[in-house]
Amino acid sequence: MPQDYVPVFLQVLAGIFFAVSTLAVSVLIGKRGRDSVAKDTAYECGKDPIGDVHTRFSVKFYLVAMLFILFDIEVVFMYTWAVVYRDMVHHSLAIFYSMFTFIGILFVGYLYALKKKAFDWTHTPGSSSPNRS
Amino acid sequence: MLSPTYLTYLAPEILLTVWAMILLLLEAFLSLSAREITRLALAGILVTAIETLFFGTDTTLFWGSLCKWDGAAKFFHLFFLAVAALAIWMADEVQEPVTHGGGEFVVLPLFTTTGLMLLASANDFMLLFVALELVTISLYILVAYRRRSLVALEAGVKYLILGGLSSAFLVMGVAYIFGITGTTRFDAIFPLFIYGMPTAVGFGLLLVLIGVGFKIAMVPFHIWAPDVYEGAPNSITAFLSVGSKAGGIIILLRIVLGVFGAGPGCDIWVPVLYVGAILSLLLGNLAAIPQRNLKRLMGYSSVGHTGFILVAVIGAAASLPGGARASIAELANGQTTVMVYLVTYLLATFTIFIVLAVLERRLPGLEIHHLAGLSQRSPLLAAAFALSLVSLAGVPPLSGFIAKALVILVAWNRHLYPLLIVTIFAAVAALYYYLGPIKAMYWSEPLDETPIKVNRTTSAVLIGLIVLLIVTGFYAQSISVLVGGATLAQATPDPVHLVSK
Repeated sequence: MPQDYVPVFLQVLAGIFFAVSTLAVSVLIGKRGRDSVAKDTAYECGKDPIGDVHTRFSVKFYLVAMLFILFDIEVVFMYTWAVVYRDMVHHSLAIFYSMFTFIGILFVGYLYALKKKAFDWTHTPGSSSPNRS
Repeated sequence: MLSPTYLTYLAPEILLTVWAMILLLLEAFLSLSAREITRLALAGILVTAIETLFFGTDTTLFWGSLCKWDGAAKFFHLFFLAVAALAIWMADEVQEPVTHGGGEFVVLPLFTTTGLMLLASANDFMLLFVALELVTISLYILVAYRRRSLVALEAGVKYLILGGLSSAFLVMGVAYIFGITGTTRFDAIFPLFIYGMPTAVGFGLLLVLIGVGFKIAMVPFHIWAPDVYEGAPNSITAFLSVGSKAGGIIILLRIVLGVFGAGPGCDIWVPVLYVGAILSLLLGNLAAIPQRNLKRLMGYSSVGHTGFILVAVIGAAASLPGGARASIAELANGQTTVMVYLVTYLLATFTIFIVLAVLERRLPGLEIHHLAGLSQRSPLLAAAFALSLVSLAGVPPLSGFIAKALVILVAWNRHLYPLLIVTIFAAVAALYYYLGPIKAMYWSEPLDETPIKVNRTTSAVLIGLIVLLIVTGFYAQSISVLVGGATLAQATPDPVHLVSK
C-alpha cells in the first residue's frame, strides 16, 4: 500500500530539508571574516594552547574496548535465549546445546586472546622488564 | 553417498569451523610455525572437500530451513574450498611471508571460506547477512594485513568503509522486504510475488541489488576494486577476485532466481542488472587499457568479467521485459554458463596471481614494463602468465574461450541483442590490454638478465593449472561434468509454468 509509506517519504523530505537548510542559512547569514593566525589556533578558554591538540592513546585501550564489545554482545544473546528457553526445552534439547556451542566458540576466542597476551598490560614488546609505572 | 540428513550435524561448514578453531588454539598454545599451520589447514580443506563430494545433489532444507542443499550449493562449496586451498598455499609458499602472526593469516581464510560456503546454501536473509559479514570482516583484516605499508592501509580503509556501506544497503533492502512479507525465508517469499509485487518490495530488491553489486564489483559500485586489489597481499587479491566475487554471484543467483524469480520480480532486477552489465563491460574493459600497474589492471579486468557473468545471469531470468519467457533448458543454461565462467576465471586468475606473487618477491608494485624479457628469465612464468591472459581474453582453444562463447550464446538465444553487441565489443577491447603484458614478456629486451628461480612445488602447481586451462578448453565436456546438475533447486512452484499463465 503506497499510502502506508507517506511517513517514510516525509522523513526523507525532513532529512533533505534539514541538511540543505542548515547549509543554506550558514552561507546566507554567516559573516565572512578574515583569517588570522589567532583564529586558526585551537580554542583553549582564551589562553594560548600548550602542546599538541591530539593526544595519543595507547592501542591497548582500543583492544580492551573491542574485547569488551565482543564479550558483552554474548550477554545480549543470552537474554533472548533465556526468555524462550523454558518453552523450547520441552520440544527438544537443541536450544540447550546451541547455547553450548555458542559459548564454546567464544571460549576459544577468549583462550586465544589470553594466550596471545591481549590482556597483558604490564609487558611491552621490546622491553624485557615489566614497566609498572 | 551420505544421506542429506547428516547435513545437520556434519555440514562442511561445521567441519571447517571446528578445524579452524582447533588450529587457532594449536597455534596459540603449541606455537606451531606458519608452515605447519598451513599444512594442517590444507589437510582440513581436503577432508572437507572429500566430505562434500559424498553429499549428493538432492535438494534438502536443513538447520530449521536456514540452509538449502542443492546442486548449486554443492558446486559452490567445492569451488570455495578450491579457492581457499590455492590462496592458503600461495600465502605460505609463493609470496613474501608475512612478518608477524603468520598463523592467523592462514586461519582467517578458513573462516572466510566458511562464510562463503554458508552463502552458497543460504535460504534465509538473516543467514545471508551473517554469512556475508563473516566473509567481509575476515577479509577486512586480511586486506590490511601488511599494516606497515601505506598502500595496504589505504586498501584496508577503503574496503572497510565501502564494505560497511554495502552491508547497510543490503540490510535496508532486507528490512523493506521483511516489512511487507513478514518473513525472511527465500522459499516463503517466492510464492507471494508471482502475480504482482508492491512497490516497497521492489525498492527493497533494488537496495539489495546495490549491496550485492558492491560485493561483485559491478559498475557503478566498483570504485573500491582497483585500489583494494593493489594494496592487498597477492594471495588475498586472488581470493577476493575469485572467492568473494563468486560468493556475490551465488547470493545474486539465490536472490534473483530463488526469491524474485517470477515475472514481477524479473521486471525489476533484469533492467538493473542489464544496465550494470553494460556499464561493467564497457568501463571495466576500457579503463583497464591505460593501467600500468599489473594488479590495478587485474582489478579493472575483474570488473569487466563481472559484466560477462551478469550477462549469463540475465540469461537465466524466467521472463525478460520484452515478454520473452524462458524454457527450463534456457534457465538451466544461464546458470551453468555462470558456473563454467567462474571455473575458467578461477584457473586463469590464480595462475596470474601466483606468477605476480613470485615476481613481487623481488620487486613490489610490479608494472607492465618490469615484465620486459620475462620469457628469457623464466620461460615457465612467462608461459603461465601469457596463457592465462590469453584465456581471460577468450582466445581459442583455451578455456576462457568456451566461457565467453557460452555467454555470447546465452545472449543470442535470449535475443538480448544490445547486450550481445556490447559483450562482443568488450571482448575485443579486452584482447588489446591483455596483449600488452604478453608483448612486454616476449618481444622486449630484459632490463635485468638474472634468471628467476621457481621452486618445485610452485612449478608443479603452475604446470597443473596450465594443463587444466588447456584441457578444459579442448574438452569443454570436462567442465560440464563438473557443473552437471549444479543448478539451483527450482523454487516451488515452478516459475516457468506460473509466468506463462
